Order: sequence, then C-alpha cells, then structure tokens
Amino acid sequence: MAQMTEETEIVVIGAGITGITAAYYLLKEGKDVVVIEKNEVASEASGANAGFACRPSLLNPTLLEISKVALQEYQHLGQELKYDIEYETCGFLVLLEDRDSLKEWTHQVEERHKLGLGEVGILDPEEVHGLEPHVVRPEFGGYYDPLSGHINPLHLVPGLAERLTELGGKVYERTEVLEIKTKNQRVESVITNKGQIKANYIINACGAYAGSIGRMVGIGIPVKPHRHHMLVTEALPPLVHCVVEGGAYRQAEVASASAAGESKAAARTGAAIINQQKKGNLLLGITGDFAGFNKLTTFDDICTISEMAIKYVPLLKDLHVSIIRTWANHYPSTTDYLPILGAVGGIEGFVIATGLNDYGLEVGAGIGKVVSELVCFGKTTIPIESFNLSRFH
Amino acid sequence: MRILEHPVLGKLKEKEKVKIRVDGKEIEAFRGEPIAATLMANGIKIFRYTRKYRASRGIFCALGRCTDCVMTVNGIPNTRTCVTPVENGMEIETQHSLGRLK
Repeated sequence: MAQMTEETEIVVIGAGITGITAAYYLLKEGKDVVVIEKNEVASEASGANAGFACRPSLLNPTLLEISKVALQEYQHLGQELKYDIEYETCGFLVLLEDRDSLKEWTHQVEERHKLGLGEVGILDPEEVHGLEPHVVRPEFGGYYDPLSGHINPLHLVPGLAERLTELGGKVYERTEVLEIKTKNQRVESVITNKGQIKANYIINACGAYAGSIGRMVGIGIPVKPHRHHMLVTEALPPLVHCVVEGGAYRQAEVASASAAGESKAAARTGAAIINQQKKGNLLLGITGDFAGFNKLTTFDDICTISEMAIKYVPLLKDLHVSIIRTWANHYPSTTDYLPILGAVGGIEGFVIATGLNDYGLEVGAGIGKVVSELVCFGKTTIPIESFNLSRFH
Repeated sequence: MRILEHPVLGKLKEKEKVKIRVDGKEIEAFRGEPIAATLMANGIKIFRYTRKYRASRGIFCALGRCTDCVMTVNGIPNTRTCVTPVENGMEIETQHSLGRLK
C-alpha cells in the first residue's frame, strides 16, 4: 500500500469520545481535521463503559460546568446523527445503607446546592421504593439526581465519527502513531504506520494510552490504565428506571483514598451498578483495579458483579437472567482524579485531553468543545487552567 | 399429534397426565414433556410477538439455542418453552415484546 502524505490543520490522536467530539466541533468551526486511531472508533473506554450520562460525583465546579455543556450537547446531538443515541435523563440513584453514607451524601447535596445544582436531594426509603419497586429498600434512603441519566456510547461515538466524515473530516482507523516530529519547539508532523501527516496542531486524546504519545515529544503524562469489569444481560422487561448504584463503591473509594493519602481511584473498588438500556438489556457493574494494560476478564470479578446485582435486585435471580457478554477495559486514571487538559509549555501546537477517569461520557462532549475552543481561539469559555499538566511538576 | 411409542422415551400411555393453563385456558399435558411439545400437540403455534414489529413467533430451533419460543411461564418472562419441562398447574402466557414483571 502506498504511504500517504498529507497536510491538515489539526490531527487528533484517538477516536474516543474526547477525540471525536473535539474533531466534530473543530470541523464545525471550519477547520481541517484528521482523526487517527490505532484500533477502531470507540474501541477503548469510550466503547466499554456503563453508559452514564450523569453529573460527575466529584465536587469540582469546573468539571460540573463542563458536564453541563456535555449533557446539553447530548440533548441535540441525537437529532443530528443517524443513530438513536438513547440519551435519557432517567435519574441517578445511590442507595444509602448506613449512617455514614447518608452523612456523606447529605454533605454532597449541600455542596451541590451551593454550586447551583438545586435538583439533587436525599429521598427517604419509601420514596426510593416508590421510584424503584424492584430494588431492595435501602435503610437510609437514597441520593437522587433527576437530571442525570444514561446514553448509548456505542451509538454516540461511532455515530459522530460517521457524521464527521460526511461533513468532510477524516477518520483513519487502524492507523498507529510511530513518531511525532517537532521543529523549533513546534509540532510539525505525525508519522504513522500508513504514512505522514503534517499539522499545525496535534491533540493527544488517547485516554489511558496518552502517556506513550507524550513520550514521543519528551513529556511525561501521568495517566494509568484503571481496569473496569462490566457485564450485560439479556433483554428484560422494564426493571429499573434510574441508573442505580449500590452505596459500597464510594465508601471504599473514600476510605482507601484517605488511608493511602493518594488517588481516589487508587484502590480496588466496586459498586453495584444497574443501568437498563433502551432495548431492555441491563448493564451491570462494576469492579476496578490496576492490572497494567491487561484487558482479560477474571471469573472473580464477574461473580462479584453478579452477586452485587442480585443483592440489590433479587428478582434477577428469580428470573434466571442470563449474562450475554462480559468485558474489561481501561479508564485513564489520574492521581488527583482530575483530567489533564490544555497546551504544553515548550511544544507549541501540542494539546493534551485525557485523564477523564470514570466520568468520560459525563463530560465528554463538553471536553471536546473546550478543546476545540482552545485550538481555535487560544482561550476557553470555561477556565481549564487548573487541569493543565503543569500541576504535576 | 404425538408419538405413541418412542424407543427412548417409552410409551405415551404410561406417562402421567397433568393440567396446565395457557392464556387462562386449561389444557391437558404430560408431566416432563417440553412446554412447546404440549402447545404444538394442542394446535397452539404462536408463542409470542416480537418487540419491534409485533410479528408472531413459535418453535424454531427446538433445542434451547435460538430463544424464539420464549413465553411467560409462572410469571417469569423469556422462558424457553422448548427446554422447560411441564409441571402440573403451570401458568403459560403468550408473551408480547419482552413481557412484563409482576
């Protein structure tokens, strides 16, 4: 095959939610964009997640602001694409089973009200039961966010990629970056296994793999692959309305974080996540651990997830529900649980957009928008300085 | 139509007769035979209607793989009738789409 040589304004590396949405908004601003992807569109975390379109659990005003943009975008992106992205604000419910989690989430609610998210609140056990009659009644009620919801990432991301090509953008799959050339401290071109692309800007949107691209220009990007297991069941009649989460996960998360004095995502974590998709299949999750770039599923994790799901929705056992698929994939984890976003000092034209941990879809389109503003105008409507790579040095 | 003498399953007249209800109507069955066999022997060929086009479905593979023959059995939707043995007093319902939970 002849090696390609082409020129463009912007090369986006990585066809996940960040890269594809960034490319989409850049194209809408009239830019010339090429997306290159080592595997296929949405083949990593963007295609293998719990489908959350919730407001992030992290109390970071910037992140919540970006999430607001993302969820607004999902409202109308669905109409632009050929695919039904299945975006629904079905609500997000955290089951509270002990006094500590009630206290923790009451605090969350207070802080969220201060940040202008007035809709969230604590429900009493009866209200939770009224909302989710098939879920075990939690002794201390539930945290409820009615404006959170779910989306189908396997329609959203490939749908956007397809739209991108229709609008004149290019998406090259199975194209791996081998080298990034710079000249006078400015990016010049990307060398791939299929040839060379010259560009003024290079956006590193490689999720958990962003570090290897960073090394090509001599910078360290501290993202680690955080393995997450998930299962999907056969299609069932309507069983749960909200995206439901069992309380255990965040307690483990917070406890281990304070014990280790480090990353919130730094330990083995687990939560019962029950998210019913439009077709009726249940997405069940989730366990997280650090296993390097190992994507194999383990039988233990699959059992843990099944047991957690049955604990909160006992009907799943009575109905003899079948698991039809399981998978594990890598979330790009950062030590402070915040994204790494923005330009890099000393290498003009190199922009990083990674480290979306486990909230990639929740902020995805917002991140894409912010990155496109940064490249087009040199500044962003939502200030993102606090997410710059420089915070680690 | 049934096989009266089967080389492996034995003689039909030695089997225990039971009653099941299909959409509220009582029919006679033999304990242990697949629900789908009872229905076919009683002339019932439509087991369910599909989610998207509401098209009728019945037996297809008859060995538990294709899930075309699923019905709501004793309140449990999506039960494969071709591999679920008959028991006395079973409540069988024609399933629409994915069925409903009680």
